[in-house]
Amino acid sequence: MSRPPTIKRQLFDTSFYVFLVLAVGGGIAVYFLKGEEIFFGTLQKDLTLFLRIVPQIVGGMLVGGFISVLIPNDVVARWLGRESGFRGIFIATIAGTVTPGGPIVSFPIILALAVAGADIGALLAYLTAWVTLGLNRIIVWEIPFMGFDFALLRFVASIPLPFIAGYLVRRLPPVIFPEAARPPDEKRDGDA
Amino acid sequence: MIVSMSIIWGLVLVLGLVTYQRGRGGFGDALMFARKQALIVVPRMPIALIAAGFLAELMPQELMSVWIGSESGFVGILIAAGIGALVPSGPIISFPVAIALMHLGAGVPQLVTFLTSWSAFALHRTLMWEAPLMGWSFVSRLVAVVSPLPFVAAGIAALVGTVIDISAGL
Repeated sequence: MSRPPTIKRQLFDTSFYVFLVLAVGGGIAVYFLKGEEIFFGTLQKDLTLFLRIVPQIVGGMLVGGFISVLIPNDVVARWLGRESGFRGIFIATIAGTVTPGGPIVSFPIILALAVAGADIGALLAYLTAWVTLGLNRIIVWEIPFMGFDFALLRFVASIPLPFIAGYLVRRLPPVIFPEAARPPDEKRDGDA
Repeated sequence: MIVSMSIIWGLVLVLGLVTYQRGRGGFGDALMFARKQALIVVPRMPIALIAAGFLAELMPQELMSVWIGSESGFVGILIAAGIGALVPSGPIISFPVAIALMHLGAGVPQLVTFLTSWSAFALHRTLMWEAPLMGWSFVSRLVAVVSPLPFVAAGIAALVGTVIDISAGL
């Protein structure tokens, strides 16, 4: 599990420098093309926005921290692994919605579900719910940036999505997982 | 603004009390978790916001509002889905981009499409997590089943929008 975070770190740093270059380059371009007034106006607007968003982001991260302590990952995986049918997709959707934190938290759960032989529909529903309905992201990012009304609208509009993804994937040819994500009995079959 | 602030800090208070009551060092662990995240995110956020703000200022605003504005309809939704799928980064960059699109006059269904498309496709997540952990066979199924999702969300958002008037922003 140590590999993905390091890769993540490198990519994140690259994108961070890209944005630094964009900020400086964009700033210079605005200053010379649009004038001093618009340059300082934009800068002030964005910094004010930052100051308004920070307390909410920090609060959201605390919420994520508390939830990850209160609901350990293996509990979620155990709870989900055996269900299939509509029930499987439904429970997976709720689990994905409440899973806190970023991919460092959710992908170990997804991997554990695959290894436990969870139904692919439930797996996809979990992943789709985590990315589109995830309360953690809504609390930390969406409400501070986009406002409560918009976040609520997008949440409501996204409720069917995990179900669509879960039912669609069951109609596709089965997934061939890499060795590390296969249930142990299949692994033995492969070795024999 | 005050509503969302009260919701978040109310949750912090309740969950913090529950965690503290339970003991077992969970409270300290939770604080460390939040601190680690905040140290990565908070210093980087103003740069992302400023970059998105300047770039929005440089965009041809009339053209952008024709492309993705509230009057842009399905073409605007297609464009928003395309932009969302191409943002190869986490929320630290996609939300400033969403704000910039909002200032450029993007319509609410188009903003819903942008965020759904970004979160469903997330190029960076595919490369860093899904492909190495779950394999390309899984990734191909994932891409196939999430493709219609931004349009479904846009459709529902547009329908809701005909009944209740919702605007983005703080």
